[in-house]
Amino acid sequence: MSGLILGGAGFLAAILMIFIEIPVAVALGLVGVLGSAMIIGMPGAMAIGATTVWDSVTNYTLTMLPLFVMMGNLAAHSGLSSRLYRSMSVLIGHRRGGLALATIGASAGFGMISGSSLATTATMGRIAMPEMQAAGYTRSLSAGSVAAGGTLGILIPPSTVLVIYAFIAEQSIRDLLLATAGPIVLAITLYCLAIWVPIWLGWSVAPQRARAAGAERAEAIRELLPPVGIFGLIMGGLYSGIFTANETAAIGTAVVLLYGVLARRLSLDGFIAAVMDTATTCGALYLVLIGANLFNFFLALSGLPFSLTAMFSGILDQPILVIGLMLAIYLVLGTLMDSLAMLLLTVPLFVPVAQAAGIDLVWFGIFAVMVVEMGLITPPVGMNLFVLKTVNPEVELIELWKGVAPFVIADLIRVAIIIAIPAIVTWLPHTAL
Amino acid sequence: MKGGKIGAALSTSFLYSAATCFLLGTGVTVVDVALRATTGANVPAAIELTSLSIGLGALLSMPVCYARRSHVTAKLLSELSPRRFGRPLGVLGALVSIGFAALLMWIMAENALSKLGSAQTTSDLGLSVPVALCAVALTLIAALIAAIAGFILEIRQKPGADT
Repeated sequence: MSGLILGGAGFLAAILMIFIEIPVAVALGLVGVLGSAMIIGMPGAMAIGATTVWDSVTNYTLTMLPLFVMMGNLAAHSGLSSRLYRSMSVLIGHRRGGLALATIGASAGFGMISGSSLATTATMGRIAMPEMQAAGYTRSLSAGSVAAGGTLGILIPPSTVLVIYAFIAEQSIRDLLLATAGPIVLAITLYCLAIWVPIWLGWSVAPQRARAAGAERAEAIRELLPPVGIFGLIMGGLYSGIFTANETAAIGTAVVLLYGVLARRLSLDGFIAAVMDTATTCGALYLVLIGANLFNFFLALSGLPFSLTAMFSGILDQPILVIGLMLAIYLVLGTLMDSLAMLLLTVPLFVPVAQAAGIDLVWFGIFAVMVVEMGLITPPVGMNLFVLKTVNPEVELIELWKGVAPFVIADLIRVAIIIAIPAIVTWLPHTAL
Repeated sequence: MKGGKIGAALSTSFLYSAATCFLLGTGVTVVDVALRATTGANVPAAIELTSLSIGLGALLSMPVCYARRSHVTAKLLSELSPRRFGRPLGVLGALVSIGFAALLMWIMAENALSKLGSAQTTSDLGLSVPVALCAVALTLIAALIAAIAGFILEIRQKPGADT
């Protein structure tokens, strides 16, 4: 069997295994080792396997992954994420659609911490949906904001998905994290419009609540300062070049810990729970990275990425077509699997094609993460929609589709804007010190 | 019952050890940045110390991931129809995980054995590479045992129980 056919068969086998819920690391790793063994023999595959495991657990760049995860867990156990929702609902809940905006903001914060849109949707579906329902919001608007909000956090630093992309695509994590600033501002603006426009047009109902008293608003602003400050520290440290990305992760973790202790919001039990959660998450993440590396090596051995680039050769001088094709593939995959699995499967194949088409790989990373997340809310079968339906069975699927439609349009506009003006993504990393 | 308690205690010990390694890595980096800012000096071998401590933490948390089946899994079918798909796919996933854990263990054990007696050391700390590889292989043996335990737990779970 030729390497190319093996590569294709291995790719399909990995998709099938992930679809039938074999753990992502296991699916990628098994296909990687066994596929490599079929091409270069078992001794060669084992040598590659040993090097991959050793390199993954001793890689300095990857050390920021547990540190970012620990920072998120310490923030969650210090109550930073739950306070974010409360503060935002106090500050903007009296505005039309204010609770939906607060949900988007809090989902983004929670997604930032959990690193998973599905987990964010499931959690916020239980917290924010009942509150919006009680305030008289239409079910479609409530459901749409929860489902869409979950997709936003993955892009916000510290983004574990971007760290993993940087590792697989061999790109600078600092550049990738800085590149998120423009798309985040764009996303927030467009999501606000996705909430307001249907309300203005009378398609959604979002009653205004009474404005909170001055003291309560001042307290809410005070509560917002720590998360904003920590975000500023990360972006500021990276932009100014004072810290490397790894140092930023360690300093961020130390600052959150210090905040939790000094503000008396992190108990000893909370601290232990946070570091234990970190260990649990990181075991799974490192296994995924080992599996992904083994799979990458197999794909490279099979020659599939090069053949794919050759297949695209007719349109490589038209990057817009290449991007359009990839967008379509991601939207289809979004109906089958979650963002991390999609990226791990496609990045080794798509990065050489993007490179050959002259696409900036930092830009491509941001694009890939954005469209992968969009796939999760694209009707009729985005995975976030099913998760939300599971935690809120009373919501009809048609209401969900109606609710997410404005956000999908907002996402499409966002993707179109970054394609038309790539500098929105690349400007900050290129000007950073 | 007794086995369950021992398993839980082992899981907790692995997690505590992993967490300690992560905290050590964080501490080394923070102290390194603070020293550089205040005295212009660096912690000796800070990068390698951080890499190895965090890498060891990641390795130590892998057995718990297998035992608790906390892998990253794209759950679509079992979300759509938990009663029909939850248990059979859970058992299948746990079974295939044993295969992967065994494969990784075999790969690293053979590699560690082939390097025994070598004088190779790490670049900054001067740690023996064969000893470090043996530690990796031992952790992966623990991961294989944990994967088997995870499979048994999955089999014993009552049909329809919440996973």
